Amino acid sequence: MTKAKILIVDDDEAIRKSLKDALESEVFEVITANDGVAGLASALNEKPQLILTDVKMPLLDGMGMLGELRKSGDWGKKVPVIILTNFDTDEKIMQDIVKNEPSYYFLKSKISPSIIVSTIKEKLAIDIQNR
Amino acid sequence: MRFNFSTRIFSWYYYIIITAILIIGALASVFTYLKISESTQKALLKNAATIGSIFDTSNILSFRGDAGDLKNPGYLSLKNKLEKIPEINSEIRFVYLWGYRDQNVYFFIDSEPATSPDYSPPGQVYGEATEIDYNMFLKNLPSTMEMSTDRWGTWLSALTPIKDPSTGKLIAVMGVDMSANTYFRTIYVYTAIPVLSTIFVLILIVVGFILRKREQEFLTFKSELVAIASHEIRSPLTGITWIMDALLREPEGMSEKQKYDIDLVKNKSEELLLTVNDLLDGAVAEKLSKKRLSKQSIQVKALFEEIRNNSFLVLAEKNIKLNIDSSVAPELTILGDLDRIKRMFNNLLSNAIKYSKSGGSVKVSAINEEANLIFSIKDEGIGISPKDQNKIFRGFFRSENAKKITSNGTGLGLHYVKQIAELHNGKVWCESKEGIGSTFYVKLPKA
Repeated sequence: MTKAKILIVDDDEAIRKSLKDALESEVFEVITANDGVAGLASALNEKPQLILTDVKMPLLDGMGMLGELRKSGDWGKKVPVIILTNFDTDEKIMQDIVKNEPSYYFLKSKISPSIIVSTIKEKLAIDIQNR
Repeated sequence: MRFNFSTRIFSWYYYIIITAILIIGALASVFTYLKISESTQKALLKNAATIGSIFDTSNILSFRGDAGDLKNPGYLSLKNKLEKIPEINSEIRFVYLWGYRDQNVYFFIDSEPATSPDYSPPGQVYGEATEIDYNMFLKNLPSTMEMSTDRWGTWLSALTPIKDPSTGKLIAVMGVDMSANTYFRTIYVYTAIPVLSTIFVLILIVVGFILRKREQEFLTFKSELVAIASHEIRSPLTGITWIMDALLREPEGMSEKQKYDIDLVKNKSEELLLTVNDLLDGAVAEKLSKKRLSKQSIQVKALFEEIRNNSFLVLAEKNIKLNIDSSVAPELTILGDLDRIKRMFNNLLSNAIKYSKSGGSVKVSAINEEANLIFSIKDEGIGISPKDQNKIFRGFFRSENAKKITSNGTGLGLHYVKQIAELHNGKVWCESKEGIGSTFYVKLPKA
């Protein structure tokens, strides 16, 4: 069985590295990008099974990237996206997040990598069942 | 960073309110001035009429208006009476009778003693007569108030025609001169009332506006600060805890001491993250209004499931049994903001666990009550003293018993619970016995 490929887009190295470690210790293959532009390019080239993205990033933010991705075609429209943010106090950003219909969104400060990993596993298992 | 300070000092409606008050104040002042002038003049004329009543018209008819009158006993007795009037009423300076002949206004009699330099002997022409004074004779004017300045000062003169009762013919004009000072003082004092009230109200309103503006600026600043803090403090803290997490996942090659220290750092940063979250939750709840809650119907059964899953690890760590009422009907729903409601229950449950003894149990259930559901979270913990029970929902308050268990805690968790419950038109309260346990109740409206 081939490993599921996960793309992590975050400008914070600590977040990228810790999530990568947690996911790689399970059965995932992980690719990373540190801004929205690089993230969008990797997503379209590598077609990962799931994308984890931050909101506030240089060049292109998470919402901008997600918008481009959803417009890019059939694959981009359907790929599950999990949004991670610490901007829960900003209502405009929260509204944007909900509008883009991500699979999940999490507040970084209220969650741990292990919960993210189990959420991803669950989500991918459901997707496989539905196929 | 964005700081949205408005450049305008006041909104347009503040200026409209201020202009309206100025106009109303000015109108009220002018109206008061006119009314008071009129009524004061009327009062003075009435006084003059009272004085006029002492004159005997047949006596006046006997006056000739020349030095011969000085031998007229009627003249002498009237002169005597008149001289006393200014002594009795200090407001009255002169009382006199005028006659008219050869196009001149002249004195019949006045109240000045013959020794006074201001004394006018009978027949002396009044050289400073005004148009009104002439017209009293030429046009038969009724009682008239006149303000005049002559060599004796500024006066209010009440001029009253004195007529022969049998023929109705004008025989003389009586003048009563009063100092204008009292008159003006009365008018100014009364007019000052609306003027000063207007100024007072204006000052109050402007000060009120300024204070409100300041408060708005402060609130804007506060919410900007919260937004910045939420990102700039929590992001690196999250990074630190997650990296510690990654380190501890692969402990091979680390000494026991190193593992212990890393674990310590991880716990401390998690603690800090919790504190920052508490502070921010409180700040966010404060600026939340009922309108801005995104309400949806929440299935109580699913909510309970989620609570159970989220607290699984903590429960195991402290060996605490969690009894969640599984008999809750699936159709039971509440109307609320899911995210806030979840955080509210999390706060209650984490308190119940935090202050429970190891091996104890926590019971969560929901009771139907007409249009509401009453949730209860019951623990077998340390309890809260009766003195502290009504203070625990205040921000930054921690009960004495809680402080004995741990010094950690912001005292904001229950405050948040109260804020969120009230934003949902709900209520929160507690029952507790020290050493036996506490039960927290949350009443929320059904969907």
